[in-house]
Amino acid sequence: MRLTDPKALDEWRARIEAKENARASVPRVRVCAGTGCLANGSARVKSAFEAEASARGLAVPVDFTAESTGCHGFCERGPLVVIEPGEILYEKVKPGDVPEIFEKTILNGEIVSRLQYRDPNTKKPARTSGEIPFYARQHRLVLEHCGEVNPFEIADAVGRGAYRGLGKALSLEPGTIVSMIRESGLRGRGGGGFPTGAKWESAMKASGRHRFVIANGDEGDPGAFMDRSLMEGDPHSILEGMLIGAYAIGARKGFIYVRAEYPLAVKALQEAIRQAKERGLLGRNILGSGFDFDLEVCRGGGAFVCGESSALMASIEGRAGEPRVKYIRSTERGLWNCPTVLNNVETWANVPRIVLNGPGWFRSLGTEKSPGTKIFSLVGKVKNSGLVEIPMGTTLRTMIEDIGGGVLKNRVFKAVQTGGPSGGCLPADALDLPVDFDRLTDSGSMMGSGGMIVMDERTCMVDLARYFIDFLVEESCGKCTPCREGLKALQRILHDLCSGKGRPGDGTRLREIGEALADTALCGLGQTAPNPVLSVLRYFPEEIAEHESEGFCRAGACRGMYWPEIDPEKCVGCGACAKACGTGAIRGSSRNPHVVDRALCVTCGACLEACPFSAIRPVRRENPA
Amino acid sequence: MEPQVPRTDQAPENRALDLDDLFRSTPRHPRFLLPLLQDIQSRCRYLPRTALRLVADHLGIPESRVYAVATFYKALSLTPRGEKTVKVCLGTACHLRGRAASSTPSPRPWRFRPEAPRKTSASPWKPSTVWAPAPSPPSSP
Repeated sequence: MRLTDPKALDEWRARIEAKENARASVPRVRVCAGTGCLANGSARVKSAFEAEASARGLAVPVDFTAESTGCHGFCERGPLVVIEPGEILYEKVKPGDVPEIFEKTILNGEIVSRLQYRDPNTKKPARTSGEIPFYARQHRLVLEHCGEVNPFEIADAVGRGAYRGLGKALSLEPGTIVSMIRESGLRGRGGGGFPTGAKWESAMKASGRHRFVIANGDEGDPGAFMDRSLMEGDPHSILEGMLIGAYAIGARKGFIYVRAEYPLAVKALQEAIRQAKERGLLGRNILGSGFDFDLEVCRGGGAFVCGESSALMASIEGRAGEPRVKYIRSTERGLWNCPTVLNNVETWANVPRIVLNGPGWFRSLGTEKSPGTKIFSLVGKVKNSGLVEIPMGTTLRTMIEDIGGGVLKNRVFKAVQTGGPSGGCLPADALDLPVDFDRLTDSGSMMGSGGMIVMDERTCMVDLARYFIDFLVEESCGKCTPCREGLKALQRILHDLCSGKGRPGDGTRLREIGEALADTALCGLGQTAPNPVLSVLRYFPEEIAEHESEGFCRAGACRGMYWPEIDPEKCVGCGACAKACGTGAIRGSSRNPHVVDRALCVTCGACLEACPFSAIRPVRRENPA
Repeated sequence: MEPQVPRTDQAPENRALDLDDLFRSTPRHPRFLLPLLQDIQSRCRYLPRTALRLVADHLGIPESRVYAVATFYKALSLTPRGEKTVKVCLGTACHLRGRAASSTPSPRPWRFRPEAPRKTSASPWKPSTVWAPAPSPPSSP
């Protein structure tokens, strides 16, 4: 059925809502089919529910899609099951638990307490996902419907309010929409933080026969997955934002550029586009307004640099994805030299909400210079890994300690890395820093796409810098010399430092090369590429110095640059280290302090990781390699 | 015994490439170069030399441009990839948590052999490792 005017859309939504309300009191079971839960056997749990329902002759619908329960970010606790009504959440459900859940929860509304999530610190059980601190402290705005709607069903999205913003936008003048976005203060969520309204305005005013809108879903940061979840979980919000943007700047064609490694996102977006076309929400004369707009999904080719806007456009044009110098902005001459607005998928998903609720509402969230919320992927040595959406200005401490539940194994927090390969790390005394675009940049890191990697005392900062530079060397497109050669020079020094071959002056050399690279590289990726190294030099100079002149790695991460030493006072002789040791270098009898045989030790670090009492620590070598 | 790896010269280069349907469904515009190469890659597991020529003809662009794109993107390969691909995630989170774990699983228990390395790197850490199986039994198209 094609919707011919905004009223028809409203009527359709009312019908869906009425249907939803009618079945709200009927029991339903939602089993997570996310990758993590599937690996833990959620398919068998789902069959068990179905078998149990038919054995009892009951009609209890069992939903089984990753999206209908949403990936809770608790993959390690899967399979996750949610029982409605009541939104009761169970973790680690096995097929054998199903009869009990049926008997108690579905038929009698009782809780099976042994299957509830318990807070790792307080041991308090949570009844629904909303009671878990991980969710309670978040403000889910863009991710609001992720996990609630089925991305392959447009009716589901419309029932939850999708395309309401479009309905309103089409009744406004394009210029009004652009000024709304400008007033809202929305800034690009891809990392740069450029004001979205200014971008739109410039494209609207630029001359050209054709205009384009592009969504950047080429999430290249190796530690982040928020764009992926958004595209897979709520594709219609991206479509709606792009429709509004296209209407505002006068574009008739748009592209969504998605990483090749995200096949499910490609599928979800393609299906969303197909269904939106069927309903007349894309194509000719959208909702009877006379506005035409068409969207297409472009699969990336697996190149990190294609996340850079001009490289991305080159890739859509069918060329190698190399950036260009941007003395002329893409908003004037972008895709095929036409005015183009390129925004991150998260930025687009913010647009319908701003149009619907007004710029004042958006400004009430976050900070003055960075309004709204931001999605982070909180990973690394943190208890609750997952996607976290918080208002801008929330402190790192709230994110890591309250939402993230603190550092794994209650170890000592060392640093947090933000912004992926373009970002930097912040030490423990920056924990009270409010997170927004400007504060992060001032402190030598950057928002980036929103990766947030927590590190503990076992993480070597030099090794981390080496990891990012290795990644960037591999991904540098090679067009400009500073990036191509500068990164290699950094890589050589960092590899030497991490293998005990550091030379005096390496730290200075790293700084000189890094600063030259930042000043001379052609594109944004190259200019920010030395950030991981420069921020380590800024906040952890002592680690660089130790690697450089003493051949010592205090984290015990760089092989051959320390000896593990067992503190006889702390060692209880549990044998965990001896069990973990692959070379049999640790000896000792049960309940007595163990010792390390240095002749056999290969410094793999397994014992440091295994000791539950932090009794093993890395010590300096007398004659470093 | 010298382990066997699918060699480029044994590739089904001369086999008639059945790509007509792909060409039929792809409009003749240079912007479809990358999607077209991706489709060929997923069908053949690599980009045969003949295909590059056909693509250039179809889209009306020089072969050099096809080659430029074919060699730029990691998703594309000019040599046959293995039937199965094993990817070891070395994203930042995995790097932090699993540094002690080996990223280069021994191929010995399997009848696998790593795809011929394209270049030697000082670091054994790669974002992902691609493995190609020994060609036995011979895969029939």
